[in-house]
Amino acid sequence: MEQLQISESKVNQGTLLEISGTVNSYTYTDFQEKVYSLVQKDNLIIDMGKVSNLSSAGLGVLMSAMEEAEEKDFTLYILNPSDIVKASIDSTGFADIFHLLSSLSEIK
Amino acid sequence: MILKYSLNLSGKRDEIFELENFISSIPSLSCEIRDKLRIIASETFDNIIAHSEKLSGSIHVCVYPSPHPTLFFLYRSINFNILINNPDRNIYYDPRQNRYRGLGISMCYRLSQSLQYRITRDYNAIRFVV
Repeated sequence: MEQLQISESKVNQGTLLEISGTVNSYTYTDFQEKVYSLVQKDNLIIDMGKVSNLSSAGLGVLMSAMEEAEEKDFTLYILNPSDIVKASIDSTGFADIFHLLSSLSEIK
Repeated sequence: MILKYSLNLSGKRDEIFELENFISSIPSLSCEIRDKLRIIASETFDNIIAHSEKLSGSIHVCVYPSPHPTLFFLYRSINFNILINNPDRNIYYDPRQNRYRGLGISMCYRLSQSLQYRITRDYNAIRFVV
């Protein structure tokens, strides 16, 4: 079973969450809890380079969390999205709303 | 000879991991096709588990890698129409789950070149060509 792993660290631009494994209907609640708690306090950068699936449940969390961040005047970024994360985001039809980064230095 | 890879699932939610691993293990698929199949398969499985009434027997999953990569689901339930005529296909916020919902079926449509479905008295079938 491919578990979801989440590690948290501080960087100059905000809080960095590194995610690995699959964000699906079975694992998304751990992801949701962590993302919602952090996005209230700081800019949140989610490194999704090692994510092997991003289901609609995970995307739904990201979309809600982006709004929560905006409300608090923070920003949620997605760093190094894996190919399947890009495909998943593209398939929503509104990829433009996601802040995708290939490097932390892109944050102004 | 047409290559075919098959998996039978009993309909437990945590079998989604087995399904994801099954798709990942199929050889001779490009990364792009494998990713699309993985997303579509997990979304379809989620919807079957979440919405099917009187789900009985196994959920049979097949992948035909060529000539046109195809994903096929076959299962038994009494309300297959809800997946096809999903009234909630629009994206909406669900306060109970505190997240947006309604994305999954739209994603499957966008990632597929074609989608066919068949309802008989005995089974439901869904076929995605990606």
